[in-house]
Amino acid sequence: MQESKITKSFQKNCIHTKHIFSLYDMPKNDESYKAMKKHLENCSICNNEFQNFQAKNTQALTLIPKFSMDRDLRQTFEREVVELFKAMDLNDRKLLKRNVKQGFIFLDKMGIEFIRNLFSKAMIKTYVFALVIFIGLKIFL
Amino acid sequence: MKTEELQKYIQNLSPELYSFAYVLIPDDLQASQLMIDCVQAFLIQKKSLVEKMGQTKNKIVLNLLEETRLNLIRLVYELSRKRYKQLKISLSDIEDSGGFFSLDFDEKAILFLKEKTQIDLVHIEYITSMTKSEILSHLYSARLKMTSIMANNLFQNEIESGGIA
Repeated sequence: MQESKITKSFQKNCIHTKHIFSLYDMPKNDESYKAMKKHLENCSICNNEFQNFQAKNTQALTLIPKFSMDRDLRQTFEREVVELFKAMDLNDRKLLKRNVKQGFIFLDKMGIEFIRNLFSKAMIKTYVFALVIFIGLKIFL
Repeated sequence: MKTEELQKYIQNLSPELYSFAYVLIPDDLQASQLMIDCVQAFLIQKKSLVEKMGQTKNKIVLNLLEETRLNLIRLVYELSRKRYKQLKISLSDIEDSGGFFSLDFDEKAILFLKEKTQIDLVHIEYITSMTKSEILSHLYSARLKMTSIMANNLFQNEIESGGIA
């Protein structure tokens, strides 16, 4: 009789019980989750405690409110979003205009770079060198 | 994707954003103003992302839309955190009345995100800029407080109905 009492009181305590609640939110691929889960399967005290907590928690979740927006507020928000997009120049037509403009600027820069290269020092040296070869060939051949 | 579609997408996010904003700052006008400010902040901070979306094809845009949603929720959290400090005194009545609103600011935010918007831990880390262990500890304490609130409510109901003499 006394022995069974001792066993019962011993059974009421498990060093893992206070950590068992963390199982609720821990990611399932976590190592500590797997270890806890395994312990839960073998320990009836923790299992009972966890189920008790789970039941309470499920009921408690009904106390978390989810508010819906007033129709007027929603309309105001929708109007404001449109205005913000306009103010930030984020309309499709303006974006297209900006892209076309950027394309032309790119082509323009390429053209300028090409002309600059044609008249660069290295290219002038090349022209002179080619001219010398051309004249040399004309004279000796 | 056209920018008009993005506009629509943001407009359609309004119930989710409002609900989250209201949980953090329980005042309808403040909450709706907070949402507008968040969209404005988003358009300024992520203008290049918005322009990129305007030029990208639909399949790729799906990821960008999810990014937009998370960014907006993150901004609601960040801005409301700043405003909460200023408005704390005017919100004390609601917080003192007990229930969910009596939780701490972060506990409310994290519990709501986890349970009502079904956002996973990795994204909650991004929204709140907290580590996983910090989030888990907030969740744990929020859950404990909620269960004790519920127990108190049940006890009071029992007293009111005459169950406990």
